[in-house]
Amino acid sequence: MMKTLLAFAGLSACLCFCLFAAAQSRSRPAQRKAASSSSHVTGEAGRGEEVFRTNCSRCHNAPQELSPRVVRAVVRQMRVRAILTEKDEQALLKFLAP
Amino acid sequence: MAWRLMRIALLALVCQAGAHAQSDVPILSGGAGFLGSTRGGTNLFQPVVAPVLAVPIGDRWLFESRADLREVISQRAPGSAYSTRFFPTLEYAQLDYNAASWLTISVGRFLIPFNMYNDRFSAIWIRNLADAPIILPIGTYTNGYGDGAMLRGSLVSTKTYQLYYTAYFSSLSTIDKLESGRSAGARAGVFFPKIRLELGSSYQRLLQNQQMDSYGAYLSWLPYSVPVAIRGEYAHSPHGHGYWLETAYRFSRFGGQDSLLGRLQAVGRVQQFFRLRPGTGDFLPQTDMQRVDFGWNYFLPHEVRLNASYGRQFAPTGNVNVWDFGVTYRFLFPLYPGGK
Repeated sequence: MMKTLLAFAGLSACLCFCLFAAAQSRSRPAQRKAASSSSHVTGEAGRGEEVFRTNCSRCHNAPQELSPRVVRAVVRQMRVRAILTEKDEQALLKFLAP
Repeated sequence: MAWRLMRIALLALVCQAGAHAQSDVPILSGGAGFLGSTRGGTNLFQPVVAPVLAVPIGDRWLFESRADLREVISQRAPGSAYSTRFFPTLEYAQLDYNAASWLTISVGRFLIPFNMYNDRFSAIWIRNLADAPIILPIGTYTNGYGDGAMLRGSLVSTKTYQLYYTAYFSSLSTIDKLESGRSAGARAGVFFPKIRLELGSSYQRLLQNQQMDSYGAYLSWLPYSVPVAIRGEYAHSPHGHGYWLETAYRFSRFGGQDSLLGRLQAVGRVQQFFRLRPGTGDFLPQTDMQRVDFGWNYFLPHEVRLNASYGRQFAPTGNVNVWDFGVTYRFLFPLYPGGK
């Protein structure tokens, strides 16, 4: 009984997160657009920021600090691990080490 | 002997990378931590260091490796004396060649790319909960590592979707610290960047002794508008099948990611495993098992993370409480100073 209740509670919590997230994504497109247009980063670096926001967070949080000296090696490694294209790699480099 | 040869090879690689270009500085990153766990009253403590080495060579080559060095301090039963044992593991050491966006060739030792947990979330500084999912051994036979070759790449990459694949062959290896099973497998997935939704499936065929097929599917969704991450996997093998579903919510809406509350993350995970055939040595539970976990992560400045979680595990052999706690530190620095 306890087992079923806990499993049910866990699944319900997951479902609630999903529904909440779905509702939020539908109700806030204007905010998202405003946020992206307010960015001062443009061109290749802007695309790099998009690649960073889109791909890196799929697996981990962004590092709090990233020295320009290590950026090339980090991006090269992430190209392999995150299966980035050559264009994505170049854009990411422009964003992280302009 | 194998370790000595590997050290010499690494030194040569680092020197080569340094000679090629000042900007291609090799890096040493990874994580260190102290993990503690109490399972049904039995304690387990693990100081861990997991260094990652990445050495870019020219424009297309990269050598990368990760080791896991841990001391396991454990009890056999509640209240009994502690015993200690050191476990050094070479998790991957591979040479990558970026031939094109659609093809990267890797040779050496690699993490078996089945579903997404083993090669993407197993690092101690990345995983949201200290314990790996119950179904992790499915599809990653025999030990999660492969010695051989792997191909991966992005087949299609547009603004609306990205299609990617991974395929590998691993040979049987009984070399000390480089053990692996003979297997082949593939993974294919699609990622929708506009909604950060990823779906994929995996396959593995074990090609030694008992030949068997394992397959799985996975899902990951990180909506832009809410700081929540929803991930799950399903895996099936002739020995058993199961799934896990995890959600993580970062309280960054409360003053941003660096605020007192914004550094906090709540994590929940449910998982079930169903045993289909009795088996030993498959690293899976011998009976059906269910588990529910709930935990907290707190991201301190300077890449330090505190985590604590509680789980309840249900099995016909007995239900147990599982308490986990730990602190991890993620480091990243160039391998040698100087230069630009």
